[in-house]
Amino acid sequence: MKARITAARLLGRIGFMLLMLAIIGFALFPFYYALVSSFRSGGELFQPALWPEHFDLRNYAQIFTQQAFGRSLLNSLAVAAAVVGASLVLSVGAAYALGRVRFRGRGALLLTVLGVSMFPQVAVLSGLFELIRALGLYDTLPGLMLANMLLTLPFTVWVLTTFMRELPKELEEAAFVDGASPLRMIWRVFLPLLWPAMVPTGLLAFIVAWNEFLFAFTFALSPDVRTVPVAIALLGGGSAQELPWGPIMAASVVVTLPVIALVLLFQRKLVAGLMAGAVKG
Amino acid sequence: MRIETPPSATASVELRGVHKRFGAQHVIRGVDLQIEAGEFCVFVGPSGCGKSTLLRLLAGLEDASAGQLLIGGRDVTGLPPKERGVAMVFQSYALYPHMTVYRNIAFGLETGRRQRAETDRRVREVAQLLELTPLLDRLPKELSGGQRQRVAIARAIVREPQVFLFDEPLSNLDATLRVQTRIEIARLHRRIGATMVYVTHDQVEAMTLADKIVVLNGGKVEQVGAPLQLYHQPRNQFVAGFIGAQRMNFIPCRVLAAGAAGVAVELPGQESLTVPVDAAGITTGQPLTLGVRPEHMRGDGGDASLTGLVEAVEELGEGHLLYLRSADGTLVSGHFSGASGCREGDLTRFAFYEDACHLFDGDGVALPRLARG
Amino acid sequence: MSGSARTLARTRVRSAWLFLAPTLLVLAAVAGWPLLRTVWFSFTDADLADISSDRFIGLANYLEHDQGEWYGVLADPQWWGAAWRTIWFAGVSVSLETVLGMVVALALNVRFRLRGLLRAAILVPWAIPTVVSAKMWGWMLNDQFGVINHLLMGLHLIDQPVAWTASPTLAMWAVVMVDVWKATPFMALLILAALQMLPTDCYEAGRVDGIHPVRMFFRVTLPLMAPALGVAVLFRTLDALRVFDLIYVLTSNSNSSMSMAVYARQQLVDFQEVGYGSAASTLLFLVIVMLTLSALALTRWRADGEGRA
Repeated sequence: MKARITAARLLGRIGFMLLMLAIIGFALFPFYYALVSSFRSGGELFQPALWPEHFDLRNYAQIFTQQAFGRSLLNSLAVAAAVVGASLVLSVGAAYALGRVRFRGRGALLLTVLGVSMFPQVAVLSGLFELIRALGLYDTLPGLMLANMLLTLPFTVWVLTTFMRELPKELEEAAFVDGASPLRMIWRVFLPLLWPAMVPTGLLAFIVAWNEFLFAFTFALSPDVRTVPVAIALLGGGSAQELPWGPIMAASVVVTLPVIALVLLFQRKLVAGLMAGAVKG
Repeated sequence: MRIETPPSATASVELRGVHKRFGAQHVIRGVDLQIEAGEFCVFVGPSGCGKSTLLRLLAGLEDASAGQLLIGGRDVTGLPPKERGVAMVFQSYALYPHMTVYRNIAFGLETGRRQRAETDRRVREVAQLLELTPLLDRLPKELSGGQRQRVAIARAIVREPQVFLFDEPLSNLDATLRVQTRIEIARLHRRIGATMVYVTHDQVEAMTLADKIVVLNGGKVEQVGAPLQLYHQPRNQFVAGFIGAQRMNFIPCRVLAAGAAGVAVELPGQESLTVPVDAAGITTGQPLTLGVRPEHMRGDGGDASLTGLVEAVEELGEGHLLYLRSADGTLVSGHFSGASGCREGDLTRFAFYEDACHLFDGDGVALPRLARG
Repeated sequence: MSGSARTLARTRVRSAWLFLAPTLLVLAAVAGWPLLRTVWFSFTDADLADISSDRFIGLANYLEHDQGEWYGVLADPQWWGAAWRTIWFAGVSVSLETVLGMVVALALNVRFRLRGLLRAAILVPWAIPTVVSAKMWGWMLNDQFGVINHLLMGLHLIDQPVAWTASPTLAMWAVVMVDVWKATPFMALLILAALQMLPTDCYEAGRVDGIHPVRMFFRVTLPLMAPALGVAVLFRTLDALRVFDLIYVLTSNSNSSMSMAVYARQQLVDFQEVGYGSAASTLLFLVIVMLTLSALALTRWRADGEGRA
């Protein structure tokens, strides 16, 4: 009796493990292949291979020297950091208002914020184009930063509001009795408590801003203001017909490695943030 | 009533040398136990003693690290729950929140289309037994705690198991409901006559419901016996202190003499008392612990007494509790009927008879009572 | 006493609005105004070169009958192709992501040795830019040099290299695959959150009653997860309907794989037809609004009917 159970269990467990390995393989193989391809160049790339013939860093050199990829990385970093910073700063105050104060129209405002996060980017493209051009910010980083606020601000407001709601009332009441102004209350009471929520929220918003393509592709095309996604999309090579797959893969690897590091470091926080957003949603 | 379980369908339960480890934690340390078919057996003990773990081992929700479990004489160690013939009532009721009462009860039964009429009959029968018939279409969230508990019990009954397992079913109910449901469970046992294993931390539930009580402490069985047996003849200080509405008083004393009539001890305040216990192995001058229950204290008379100042008076209405600080500093409590005439600081006297006393040695083991001649 | 309480509440409300003001300002500037402008443009004949000079032409961008011919977005077969294609894409990829996400979520819910690795592994595809995903997969799916064709030919499953991203029939399937690769982690985590909120004692009761785990899944787990699952599916579907990056980069300017967003942008930027493109954008926006409203209506209808099992 016992032997039969363990045999079936063992088979099930092996099958399960195989399935897990298949999923992990499916998830990670493209990266591996991109890594391998980035070390090969020229004619070598005509033949697919799972291991590079030799470790050639030519492609990496090319993107940094010929394509100013380093500049694009800095651009992306600047835009994402600015957008996340601004979003978080604005969101804390907004979250306090939406999460702790009862006023008429609060529910409607929250729904509006949620609604904005569902806008298709194209729907605001022409209007934004006009606005950015009018402000003289076309083809500049600040212009792109402004546009990206559309993507990050509703998200950070929503998540921080739900966290704010969960905070205990007693602290606020105690500070109130002590005569603290709302600003002081936010700074002294809520902000320290909100830190653990702001890290994953900021991380997720950073990822969104870093990956953004449509606005960057439409509003910041010049080589010196390009962000990473645009730079990779526009990576041109020597010949007119063939896409320079080697350098493209090298660029992909350069972009992916810090993301992998981020994910490994902040895995738990990221998952918690995503799941918290889901639960509240 | 058709629900009555014929004696052959209910089973005895036996545990042999059962151990359970969670990693480095040795939670169940060698339990041997026998429960007769049709018996109501209660596992009782403080938090962390392992009583719930023991129940879960019986259910098959955990695997024993060592030892054997037998139900109805059949070795069920290692078998999954459904092959053990058990049903369990959980502390949190464990009802399916999205199903009606009817579906909750029926869920464990449904095996095929041809059996639907049979299932329906059984569900309605059990519902009637537990007075749930008007609630069959309600969802759990529309029910009160007591009603939910009855649904959980109904779900267990309808499967006609050989052994019922209850895991602290009354803990989530308020006091009045607890008493009511307790009586219902006792009545159920009389009606069905199945073997029931019941876990609780409340010794009142244990005393009132059980045919047999198993007192557990730190994963070990301290004593097994009928409720009154545990009350009158606790085997050690732990059981003595655990069983009984108010905790037994433990008074340090010294042996004056040990003989055929019993052991004579010196109490704080220099009074002496001879307790009719087996004096084997007792030496003069040995420190022992005297145990007297608060309800056995008297205002006067008695074979011995303790004198001291009243530390506190607690009026209960039907009676009162007096706390006395004896000469050596021990706090002794007494439970008396009526209102108290004493106040804090008064000098008062607790008297008690030798028959009401227990003696415990240095390891907390009770000295066996001498048989009355 | 009550007077001061009222003023207290009033000052709080005032400060709340003050705190909200910057956020609302930014959102109005970045979302509200541009949306209104887009809708306005859809009723004009503006073009990109000189965006401020526009004439009101009513619904002409949407539909117009002129000398026996129908003009306008709603008469353009390319638009309808893009619309159906986008809806098909959303349906197929979200369904696949839900099923696969459920599998992953169920796996992540159990404690097993590779759990940490699985969780980290699936997070990476989600976290990298869509452009990078498109390029990596585009390289693997390359018809001449791609490793996938190489493998399939090696296994003798195909005898000629397949043009995954260029073929009108296969391109969308390639897009679906990459989207599933990228978005399943998100679904998996949302589903995992829902799974971890389920009451655990039901499952123990099910175990003691001997109910088969598959039966428990379909009769208990799924019904209890339905609301959370519905929200996740709704969000993913709205995301999928807005798809742009993936299609644009993976299948470049192929007219046979356009989504609604790609179509709109093409009109706006490539053809400089601001009016026309704004009409397409507005239509896409309306589709999303309608879907959201019908989903809300559906949940309200279900809530009234109490959703009994």
